[in-house]
Amino acid sequence: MKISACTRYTSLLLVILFAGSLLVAGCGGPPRYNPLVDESRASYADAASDPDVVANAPDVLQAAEADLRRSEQLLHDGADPEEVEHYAYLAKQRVAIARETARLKQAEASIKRAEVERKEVQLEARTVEAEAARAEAEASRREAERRAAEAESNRELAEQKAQEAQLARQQAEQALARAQELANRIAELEAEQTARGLVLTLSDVLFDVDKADLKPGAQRAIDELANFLNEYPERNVLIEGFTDNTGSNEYNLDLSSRRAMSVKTALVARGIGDSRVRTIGYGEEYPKATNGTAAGRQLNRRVEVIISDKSGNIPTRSN
Amino acid sequence: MVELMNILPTRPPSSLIASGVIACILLLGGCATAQPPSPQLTATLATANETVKQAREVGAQEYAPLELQTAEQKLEAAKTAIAKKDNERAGWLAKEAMVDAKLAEVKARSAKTQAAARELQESIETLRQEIARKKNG
Repeated sequence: MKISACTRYTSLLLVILFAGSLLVAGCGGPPRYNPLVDESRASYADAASDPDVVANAPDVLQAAEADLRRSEQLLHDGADPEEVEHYAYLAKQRVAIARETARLKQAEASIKRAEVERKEVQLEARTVEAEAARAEAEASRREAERRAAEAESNRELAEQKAQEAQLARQQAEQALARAQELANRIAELEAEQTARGLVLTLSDVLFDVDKADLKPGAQRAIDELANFLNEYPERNVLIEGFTDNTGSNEYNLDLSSRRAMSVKTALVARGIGDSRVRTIGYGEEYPKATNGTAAGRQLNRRVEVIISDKSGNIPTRSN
Repeated sequence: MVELMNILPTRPPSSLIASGVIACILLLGGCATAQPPSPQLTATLATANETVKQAREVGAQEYAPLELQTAEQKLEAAKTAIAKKDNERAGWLAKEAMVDAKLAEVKARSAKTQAAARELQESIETLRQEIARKKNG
């Protein structure tokens, strides 16, 4: 009894349900399938499986899901397709908003990171710039030092050259003074400049006739010659003796040699080195004047002292 | 309908029939229209209007012109629907205008922010190159 009543209620309910569903179907279109709902479902599923979107736009995603479920429910219930699609559209747009929000949040995060990075890079740039400035300063300091050192060495060089010039000038002055001195001494010796060099002629007044010993009056002339030779040690002398034509040749040669030797002996006695003084007798050769007169013969009776050049050389007699 | 099935064993058949009839009438009522705009609809319309304005302010005309245009058209259509006493459609259009405008706004902000991020990255790159040049020079 209870079972049969139950069955009756069930069949009655089915009838009512059927009628209801017919009425509902009358309000909307017949389809239970909607492409926009499918599209929204797909795009929602896509976004919901994207961790970026889930993390960055959970609220919008949730709202999209609610709209999607609503559209599905409405579709299932056979509601007006316009309403179904309205919610499907809302869902689709909210998914798009969620996706774009995720992109926005990511861009904002990347800006934040980039700002930190930029600060670091700017710091590095400043450090590098400071380092470059320091290196530049160091380089110009070194350059300045190098220039100063160069200037100093130039100055020293100039000073050295000035000193050398001064020395050279002094030496030139000394040489000039020595030359002047020599000229003075030569003038004192009453020497005469000839092609063979300086020639000092000692006349026979220094010797008695037919004698080779120096007279006391000759001492002054010998002293001066010895002083000169002491002062100019680079110079040597050649002493040549001559006679007039009275007497034999052999005798005259011997006499002239002895007279020259007397002069040498006197010089050596005054400290002049033996090797610096050579002697030679020419007898009556190379007369300076005629032997025909007493005055001419007196000029021929003589001793000539030839003073060497600075190297000690004396050219040989050629005339 | 679910509620009806749950209470089925405890109710007598007559009230069951009455309930079914009431449910059918309620469902039919969903099809009816022509009510004055509800405060909720007015609020939705205001929000949609505001969102469109915001989208314009952040440069949606440049960055999301299609979405902005759609939002504006739907906003106009919603107003037209209200004038025609079609409040249900007006509500849908206003809500759609709102999400369209929101999408336009987010797109514009996103595009601008991404551009700013790129620019920043480029400036960092330039700075890095300058550093490398100074280090080598």
